[in-house]
Amino acid sequence: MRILIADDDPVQRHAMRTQLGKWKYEPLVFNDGKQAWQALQEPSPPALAVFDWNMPGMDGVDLCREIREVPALAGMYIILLTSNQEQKDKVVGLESGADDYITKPFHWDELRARLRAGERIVTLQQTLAARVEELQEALVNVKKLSGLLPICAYCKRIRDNQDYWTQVEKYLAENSEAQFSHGICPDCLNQQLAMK
Amino acid sequence: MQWNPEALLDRLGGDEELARQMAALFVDECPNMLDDVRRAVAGGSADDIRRVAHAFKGSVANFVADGPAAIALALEHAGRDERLADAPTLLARLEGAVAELIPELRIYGRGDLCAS
Repeated sequence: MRILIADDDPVQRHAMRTQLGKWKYEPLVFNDGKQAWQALQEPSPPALAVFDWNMPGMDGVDLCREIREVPALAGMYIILLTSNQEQKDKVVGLESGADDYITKPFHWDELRARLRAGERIVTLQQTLAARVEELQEALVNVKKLSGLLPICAYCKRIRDNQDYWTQVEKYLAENSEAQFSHGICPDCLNQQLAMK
Repeated sequence: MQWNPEALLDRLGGDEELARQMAALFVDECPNMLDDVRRAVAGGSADDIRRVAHAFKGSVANFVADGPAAIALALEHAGRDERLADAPTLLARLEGAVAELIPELRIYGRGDLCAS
């Protein structure tokens, strides 16, 4: 999984690049918030991010606020890094749109555990989004079948969207998940036998 | 001053190679970061002092919890509270503390510490 990193400290950047690579993540590392923000304008941005709070130009909190204004980035999981240790700072960080918060200097196992938690949430959100899309497609089919269908009063064929009269079973097979097995009902069986 | 890498190694899960790389990188970058602090103090902008002192503290705190990290924090607070008169003294103390730390980190970054 790709992880977006923004930190102005070269020592921290190097450690982040090394550790995340070791943990089989794909880190995209930037020196400041503006560069990270530009990277987020590209197609398919990373869904997981670690931002330092204090950076020149655009800081981590500004970055979180901007990201939360963009619907396409709503599912992004953001961990904020800072050496601020006061309780009110944590509240400001989380209210800016960060999902988690680590105080520097931190134990790297803790960051790894928090990244895994973030990864689980991102994966769950992506799975749910795909499921919602499937359900929306299914709903379109249900709506097709729930509309007014023109049917021939004599041969019982249905007129489709291309103005073509088609058999009921073919129409239903094309517009639903229904499948047909052919048989004969008792009335028709009697009629057929009487005709012979 | 004898710097001890134990806390850094503990946080890194024992990755000595990375700890040495971080030390070497800090030794390389420290003069630039300290210059930023000097410029901010000379410029007399409380917000600049707060910002660069905070950045310096964050970086040096990878290696030490007190000494230069504590002085950088005091300088950050001086900037935050607009106590500009305190800044030159704190800067001088910071330079002194960093001058003690850097040779230790340089040795560790080169990988000579175990041999000595």
